[in-house]
Amino acid sequence: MLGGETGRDFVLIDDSGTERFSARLMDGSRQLTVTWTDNLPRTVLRLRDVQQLTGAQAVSPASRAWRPAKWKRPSWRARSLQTKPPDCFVVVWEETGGFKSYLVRGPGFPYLT
Amino acid sequence: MIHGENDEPRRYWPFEVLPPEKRMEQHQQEIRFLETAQREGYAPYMCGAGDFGATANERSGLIVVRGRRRWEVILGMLDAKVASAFVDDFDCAAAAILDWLRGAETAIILARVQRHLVRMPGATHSFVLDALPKSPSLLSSEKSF
Repeated sequence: MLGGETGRDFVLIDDSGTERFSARLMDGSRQLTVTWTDNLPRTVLRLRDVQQLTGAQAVSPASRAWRPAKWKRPSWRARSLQTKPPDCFVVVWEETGGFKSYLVRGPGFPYLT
Repeated sequence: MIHGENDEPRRYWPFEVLPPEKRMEQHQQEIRFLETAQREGYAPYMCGAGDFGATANERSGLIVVRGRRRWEVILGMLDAKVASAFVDDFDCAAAAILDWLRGAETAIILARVQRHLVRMPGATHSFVLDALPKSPSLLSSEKSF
């Protein structure tokens, strides 16, 4: 960026070449900024998009057990999205009045720029 | 600040930037915006993941990164969003913000960005007009009539 900061953009592109999801992770930061995801503003994240992007599975911190992605709801309201190791993401989102944390983990982003 | 749009820490211009040999065209455009805004007495800043903004009295403007080569121009007044538009050109976004801060009407701004409007995937519109909030200066003008 202009100030000399470096980072990575994560982009999900559909068959027509349109960016359907894009996010930016600055080096040294634990905050992944979602700059666009479908018709949702930047603070709203479709978990399934992240899972698709990462080839990920979701796990509840209560169970600590990995399980296949099963979240079929159209959207989740993300409160924050932070990285742990580079290939792991913790998504905290609002669900009917409370906040739940889920670890979204994958082998890496297939669309790196 | 336009309510709810960006609450991340701001770096007000001037701040240290890439040396000239490492700058790309995008960086040059960003510097031009910051320098112009400062020269005209506004308070330009950078924040978040490469977003830019400036304020002037009741008016404020934001250029928000929306993926690669896409920006959202957000015009604000009294902490409320007045209009927003998606464009594919940073210079166009910067000119729109500067015009807004200089006092241009939203219709003028939209006409200016028209050639660069884009519809983002999943979005219904390429621009949105919101209700103009009542400004104290407008209220005092009304009283004088």
